[in-house]
Amino acid sequence: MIQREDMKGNRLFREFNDYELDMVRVVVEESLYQEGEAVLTEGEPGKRLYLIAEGKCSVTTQVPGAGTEEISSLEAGEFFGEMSLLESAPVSASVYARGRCRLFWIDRKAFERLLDEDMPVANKLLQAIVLTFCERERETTRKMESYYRMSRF
Amino acid sequence: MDKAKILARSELFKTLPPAALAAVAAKCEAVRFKEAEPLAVEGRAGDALYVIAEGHVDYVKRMDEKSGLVLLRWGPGDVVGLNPVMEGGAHHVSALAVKPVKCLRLAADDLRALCAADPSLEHRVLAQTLLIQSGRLRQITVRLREFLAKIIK
Repeated sequence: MIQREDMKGNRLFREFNDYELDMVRVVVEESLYQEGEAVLTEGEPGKRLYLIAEGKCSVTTQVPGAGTEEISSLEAGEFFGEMSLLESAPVSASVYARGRCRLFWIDRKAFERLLDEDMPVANKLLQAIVLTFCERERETTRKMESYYRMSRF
Repeated sequence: MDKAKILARSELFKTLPPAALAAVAAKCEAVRFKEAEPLAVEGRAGDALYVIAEGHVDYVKRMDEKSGLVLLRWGPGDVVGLNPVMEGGAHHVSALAVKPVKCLRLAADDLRALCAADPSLEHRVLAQTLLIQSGRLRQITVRLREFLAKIIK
Protein backbone atom coordinates (compact mmCIF):
# COMPACT_ATOMS: atom_id res chain seq x y z
CA MET A 1 0.00 0.00 0.00
CA ILE A 2 1.12 3.59 -0.69
CA GLN A 3 2.68 5.29 2.35
CA ARG A 4 0.98 8.28 4.00
CA GLU A 5 4.11 10.40 3.54
CA ASP A 6 4.04 9.77 -0.20
CA MET A 7 0.42 10.90 -0.35
CA LYS A 8 0.99 14.01 1.76
CA GLY A 9 3.45 15.26 -0.84
CA ASN A 10 0.64 15.75 -3.34
CA ARG A 11 -1.26 19.06 -3.37
CA LEU A 12 -4.54 17.15 -3.53
CA PHE A 13 -4.03 15.78 -0.01
CA ARG A 14 -2.18 18.61 1.74
CA GLU A 15 -5.11 19.36 4.05
CA PHE A 16 -5.85 15.70 4.82
CA ASN A 17 -5.30 14.24 8.31
CA ASP A 18 -4.00 10.67 8.81
CA TYR A 19 -7.49 9.17 9.05
CA GLU A 20 -8.53 10.81 5.78
CA LEU A 21 -5.28 9.79 4.09
CA ASP A 22 -5.92 6.18 5.14
CA MET A 23 -9.36 6.32 3.55
CA VAL A 24 -7.82 7.40 0.27
CA ARG A 25 -4.63 5.34 0.13
CA VAL A 26 -6.47 2.01 0.12
CA VAL A 27 -7.79 2.84 -3.37
CA VAL A 28 -4.55 4.28 -4.78
CA GLU A 29 -2.46 2.21 -7.21
CA GLU A 30 1.05 2.84 -8.48
CA SER A 31 2.68 2.67 -11.95
CA LEU A 32 6.10 3.47 -13.35
CA TYR A 33 6.61 5.22 -16.70
CA GLN A 34 9.78 5.63 -18.72
CA GLU A 35 11.01 8.65 -20.72
CA GLY A 36 8.60 9.55 -23.54
CA GLU A 37 5.98 7.01 -22.55
CA ALA A 38 2.38 8.21 -22.99
CA VAL A 39 0.30 8.34 -19.81
CA LEU A 40 -2.74 9.95 -21.44
CA THR A 41 -3.52 10.44 -25.12
CA GLU A 42 -5.63 13.37 -26.35
CA GLY A 43 -9.10 12.21 -27.41
CA GLU A 44 -9.15 8.90 -25.54
CA PRO A 45 -11.69 8.34 -22.72
CA GLY A 46 -10.39 9.42 -19.30
CA LYS A 47 -10.32 6.59 -16.80
CA ARG A 48 -7.98 7.66 -14.02
CA LEU A 49 -6.85 10.55 -11.86
CA TYR A 50 -3.02 10.57 -11.77
CA LEU A 51 -0.79 11.93 -8.99
CA ILE A 52 2.90 12.55 -9.71
CA ALA A 53 4.94 10.99 -6.90
CA GLU A 54 8.36 11.30 -8.60
CA GLY A 55 9.52 12.79 -11.90
CA LYS A 56 8.01 15.22 -14.39
CA CYS A 57 5.33 15.04 -17.07
CA SER A 58 4.78 17.06 -20.20
CA VAL A 59 1.27 18.15 -21.28
CA THR A 60 0.95 18.55 -25.04
CA THR A 61 -1.74 19.34 -27.59
CA GLN A 62 -2.07 19.25 -31.37
CA VAL A 63 -1.95 22.74 -32.91
CA PRO A 64 -3.22 22.97 -36.50
CA GLY A 65 -0.32 23.87 -38.79
CA ALA A 66 2.30 23.47 -36.08
CA GLY A 67 2.01 19.88 -34.85
CA THR A 68 2.54 18.96 -31.23
CA GLU A 69 3.07 21.84 -28.78
CA GLU A 70 3.87 21.57 -25.07
CA ILE A 71 1.30 23.62 -23.17
CA SER A 72 2.37 22.78 -19.66
CA SER A 73 4.85 20.88 -17.52
CA LEU A 74 3.85 19.08 -14.33
CA GLU A 75 6.13 18.11 -11.44
CA ALA A 76 6.04 15.83 -8.41
CA GLY A 77 3.19 16.84 -6.11
CA GLU A 78 0.85 17.76 -8.95
CA PHE A 79 -2.04 15.78 -10.44
CA PHE A 80 -3.84 15.43 -13.78
CA GLY A 81 -6.59 13.49 -15.53
CA GLU A 82 -9.35 14.84 -13.28
CA MET A 83 -11.12 16.86 -16.00
CA SER A 84 -12.17 13.92 -18.12
CA LEU A 85 -13.02 11.94 -14.98
CA LEU A 86 -15.34 14.68 -13.73
CA GLU A 87 -17.00 15.33 -17.07
CA SER A 88 -16.93 11.77 -18.43
CA ALA A 89 -15.40 13.38 -21.50
CA PRO A 90 -12.39 12.51 -23.68
CA VAL A 91 -8.94 13.59 -22.50
CA SER A 92 -8.28 17.18 -23.71
CA ALA A 93 -4.46 16.95 -23.92
CA SER A 94 -1.78 14.27 -24.03
CA VAL A 95 0.58 13.65 -21.11
CA TYR A 96 4.05 12.09 -21.50
CA ALA A 97 6.65 11.06 -18.94
CA ARG A 98 9.74 13.26 -18.98
CA GLY A 99 12.35 10.87 -17.68
CA ARG A 100 11.41 8.10 -15.27
CA CYS A 101 8.11 8.82 -13.54
CA ARG A 102 6.45 7.24 -10.54
CA LEU A 103 2.73 7.89 -10.69
CA PHE A 104 -0.10 7.05 -8.31
CA TRP A 105 -3.58 6.70 -9.75
CA ILE A 106 -7.21 6.36 -8.71
CA ASP A 107 -9.70 4.87 -11.15
CA ARG A 108 -13.12 6.37 -11.88
CA LYS A 109 -15.12 4.04 -9.63
CA ALA A 110 -12.85 4.56 -6.62
CA PHE A 111 -12.83 8.32 -7.22
CA GLU A 112 -16.64 8.43 -7.33
CA ARG A 113 -16.80 6.30 -4.19
CA LEU A 114 -14.51 8.75 -2.38
CA LEU A 115 -16.83 11.59 -3.33
CA ASP A 116 -19.91 9.69 -2.15
CA GLU A 117 -18.75 8.03 1.07
CA ASP A 118 -17.52 10.73 3.41
CA MET A 119 -18.56 14.36 2.97
CA PRO A 120 -15.63 16.04 4.80
CA VAL A 121 -13.16 13.98 2.74
CA ALA A 122 -15.10 14.65 -0.46
CA ASN A 123 -15.26 18.39 0.22
CA LYS A 124 -11.52 18.60 0.93
CA LEU A 125 -10.82 16.73 -2.30
CA LEU A 126 -13.18 18.94 -4.32
CA GLN A 127 -11.76 22.10 -2.72
CA ALA A 128 -8.20 21.11 -3.66
CA ILE A 129 -9.22 20.46 -7.27
CA VAL A 130 -11.17 23.75 -7.45
CA LEU A 131 -8.08 25.69 -6.31
CA THR A 132 -5.90 23.87 -8.83
CA PHE A 133 -8.37 24.66 -11.62
CA CYS A 134 -8.25 28.35 -10.65
CA GLU A 135 -4.47 28.22 -10.98
CA ARG A 136 -4.56 26.35 -14.30
CA GLU A 137 -7.01 28.80 -15.84
CA ARG A 138 -4.84 31.70 -14.69
CA GLU A 139 -1.73 30.07 -16.17
CA THR A 140 -3.47 29.32 -19.48
CA THR A 141 -4.69 32.90 -19.93
CA ARG A 142 -1.27 34.24 -18.90
CA LYS A 143 0.28 32.01 -21.54
CA MET A 144 -2.02 33.52 -24.17
CA GLU A 145 -0.86 36.96 -23.15
CA SER A 146 2.80 36.01 -23.47
CA TYR A 147 2.25 34.34 -26.87
CA TYR A 148 0.51 37.54 -27.97
CA ARG A 149 3.45 39.67 -26.81
CA MET A 150 5.95 37.37 -28.57
CA SER A 151 3.92 37.56 -31.77
CA ARG A 152 4.21 41.38 -31.73
CA PHE A 153 8.04 41.28 -32.05
CA MET B 1 -37.35 38.94 -10.12
CA ASP B 2 -37.82 35.45 -8.60
CA LYS B 3 -34.32 34.92 -7.23
CA ALA B 4 -34.74 31.24 -6.32
CA LYS B 5 -36.01 30.48 -9.83
CA ILE B 6 -33.01 32.20 -11.41
CA LEU B 7 -30.64 30.30 -9.10
CA ALA B 8 -32.39 27.01 -9.90
CA ARG B 9 -31.63 27.58 -13.57
CA SER B 10 -27.99 28.46 -12.96
CA GLU B 11 -25.11 26.06 -13.52
CA LEU B 12 -23.74 26.63 -10.03
CA PHE B 13 -26.88 26.21 -7.95
CA LYS B 14 -29.16 24.00 -10.03
CA THR B 15 -28.49 20.88 -7.92
CA LEU B 16 -29.50 22.53 -4.61
CA PRO B 17 -32.73 21.41 -2.92
CA PRO B 18 -35.47 24.09 -2.47
CA ALA B 19 -34.57 24.97 1.13
CA ALA B 20 -30.91 25.54 0.24
CA LEU B 21 -31.91 27.54 -2.86
CA ALA B 22 -34.10 29.76 -0.67
CA ALA B 23 -31.19 30.28 1.76
CA VAL B 24 -28.90 31.35 -1.09
CA ALA B 25 -31.63 33.51 -2.69
CA ALA B 26 -32.09 35.38 0.60
CA LYS B 27 -28.46 36.52 0.39
CA CYS B 28 -28.62 37.58 -3.27
CA GLU B 29 -29.14 41.11 -4.51
CA ALA B 30 -30.61 41.93 -7.94
CA VAL B 31 -28.26 44.16 -9.92
CA ARG B 32 -28.10 45.58 -13.45
CA PHE B 33 -25.18 46.49 -15.70
CA LYS B 34 -25.26 48.80 -18.72
CA GLU B 35 -23.79 47.85 -22.08
CA ALA B 36 -19.96 47.64 -21.87
CA GLU B 37 -20.00 48.06 -18.09
CA PRO B 38 -17.61 45.70 -16.26
CA LEU B 39 -18.91 43.08 -13.84
CA ALA B 40 -15.29 42.19 -13.09
CA VAL B 41 -12.00 43.97 -13.78
CA GLU B 42 -8.74 42.10 -14.36
CA GLY B 43 -6.38 42.65 -11.42
CA ARG B 44 -9.08 43.81 -9.00
CA ALA B 45 -10.18 41.75 -6.01
CA GLY B 46 -13.26 39.60 -6.54
CA ASP B 47 -15.58 39.96 -3.59
CA ALA B 48 -18.78 38.60 -5.16
CA LEU B 49 -20.10 36.33 -7.87
CA TYR B 50 -22.84 37.19 -10.35
CA VAL B 51 -25.48 34.80 -11.69
CA ILE B 52 -26.66 36.06 -15.08
CA ALA B 53 -30.46 36.28 -15.38
CA GLU B 54 -30.70 38.18 -18.67
CA GLY B 55 -28.17 39.31 -21.26
CA HIS B 56 -24.65 38.27 -22.16
CA VAL B 57 -21.21 38.91 -20.73
CA ASP B 58 -17.81 38.67 -22.46
CA TYR B 59 -14.87 37.13 -20.60
CA VAL B 60 -11.92 39.21 -21.82
CA LYS B 61 -8.16 38.76 -21.24
CA ARG B 62 -6.10 41.93 -21.58
CA MET B 63 -3.34 41.41 -24.16
CA ASP B 64 -1.70 44.82 -23.98
CA GLU B 65 -2.61 48.44 -23.21
CA LYS B 66 -5.00 48.69 -26.14
CA SER B 67 -6.41 45.28 -26.87
CA GLY B 68 -8.11 42.32 -25.26
CA LEU B 69 -9.07 38.85 -26.40
CA VAL B 70 -12.60 37.54 -25.85
CA LEU B 71 -12.11 34.06 -24.41
CA LEU B 72 -15.74 33.11 -23.79
CA ARG B 73 -19.23 34.59 -23.92
CA TRP B 74 -21.60 33.86 -21.05
CA GLY B 75 -25.38 34.02 -20.96
CA PRO B 76 -28.33 33.35 -18.65
CA GLY B 77 -27.51 30.73 -16.03
CA ASP B 78 -23.76 31.31 -16.23
CA VAL B 79 -21.74 32.60 -13.29
CA VAL B 80 -19.21 35.46 -13.35
CA GLY B 81 -16.44 35.86 -10.78
CA LEU B 82 -16.36 32.28 -9.57
CA ASN B 83 -12.58 31.73 -9.38
CA PRO B 84 -11.67 34.79 -7.26
CA VAL B 85 -14.49 33.90 -4.85
CA MET B 86 -13.23 30.33 -4.57
CA GLU B 87 -9.55 31.16 -4.08
CA GLY B 88 -9.92 34.58 -2.49
CA GLY B 89 -7.81 36.42 -5.05
CA ALA B 90 -8.08 38.93 -7.86
CA HIS B 91 -9.83 38.55 -11.22
CA HIS B 92 -7.35 37.33 -13.83
CA VAL B 93 -9.68 38.40 -16.67
CA SER B 94 -12.37 41.04 -17.05
CA ALA B 95 -16.08 40.43 -17.59
CA LEU B 96 -17.97 43.04 -19.66
CA ALA B 97 -21.70 43.33 -20.29
CA VAL B 98 -22.28 42.89 -24.03
CA LYS B 99 -25.70 44.59 -23.77
CA PRO B 100 -27.68 45.52 -20.63
CA VAL B 101 -27.42 42.65 -18.17
CA LYS B 102 -29.60 41.66 -15.23
CA CYS B 103 -28.07 39.39 -12.62
CA LEU B 104 -27.96 38.32 -9.00
CA ARG B 105 -25.00 39.33 -6.85
CA LEU B 106 -23.87 37.02 -4.07
CA ALA B 107 -21.10 38.31 -1.79
CA ALA B 108 -18.16 35.93 -1.33
CA ASP B 109 -18.46 36.15 2.47
CA ASP B 110 -22.13 35.16 2.29
CA LEU B 111 -21.37 32.14 0.10
CA ARG B 112 -18.59 31.07 2.48
CA ALA B 113 -20.92 31.42 5.48
CA LEU B 114 -23.64 29.38 3.74
CA CYS B 115 -21.11 26.64 2.91
CA ALA B 116 -19.69 26.58 6.44
CA ALA B 117 -23.18 26.19 7.89
CA ASP B 118 -24.27 23.42 5.53
CA PRO B 119 -21.66 20.84 4.33
CA SER B 120 -24.18 19.36 1.91
CA LEU B 121 -24.66 22.76 0.24
CA GLU B 122 -20.87 23.17 0.16
CA HIS B 123 -20.53 19.74 -1.47
CA ARG B 124 -23.02 20.53 -4.21
CA VAL B 125 -21.55 23.97 -4.86
CA LEU B 126 -17.99 22.57 -5.05
CA ALA B 127 -19.05 19.72 -7.35
CA GLN B 128 -20.82 22.14 -9.72
CA THR B 129 -17.89 24.58 -9.54
CA LEU B 130 -15.61 21.82 -10.77
CA LEU B 131 -17.85 21.00 -13.70
CA ILE B 132 -18.06 24.69 -14.63
CA GLN B 133 -14.30 25.18 -14.29
CA SER B 134 -13.53 22.02 -16.21
CA GLY B 135 -15.79 23.07 -19.09
CA ARG B 136 -14.26 26.56 -19.15
CA LEU B 137 -10.72 25.26 -19.03
CA ARG B 138 -11.52 22.99 -21.94
CA GLN B 139 -12.96 25.91 -23.95
CA ILE B 140 -10.02 28.18 -23.06
CA THR B 141 -7.56 25.45 -24.12
CA VAL B 142 -9.33 25.31 -27.50
CA ARG B 143 -9.00 29.13 -27.75
CA LEU B 144 -5.28 28.82 -26.85
CA ARG B 145 -4.84 26.24 -29.61
CA GLU B 146 -6.62 28.49 -32.15
CA PHE B 147 -4.62 31.48 -30.97
CA LEU B 148 -1.33 29.61 -31.33
CA ALA B 149 -2.27 28.39 -34.83
CA LYS B 150 -3.10 31.99 -35.84
CA ILE B 151 0.22 33.31 -34.49
CA ILE B 152 2.22 30.56 -36.22
CA LYS B 153 0.49 31.35 -39.55
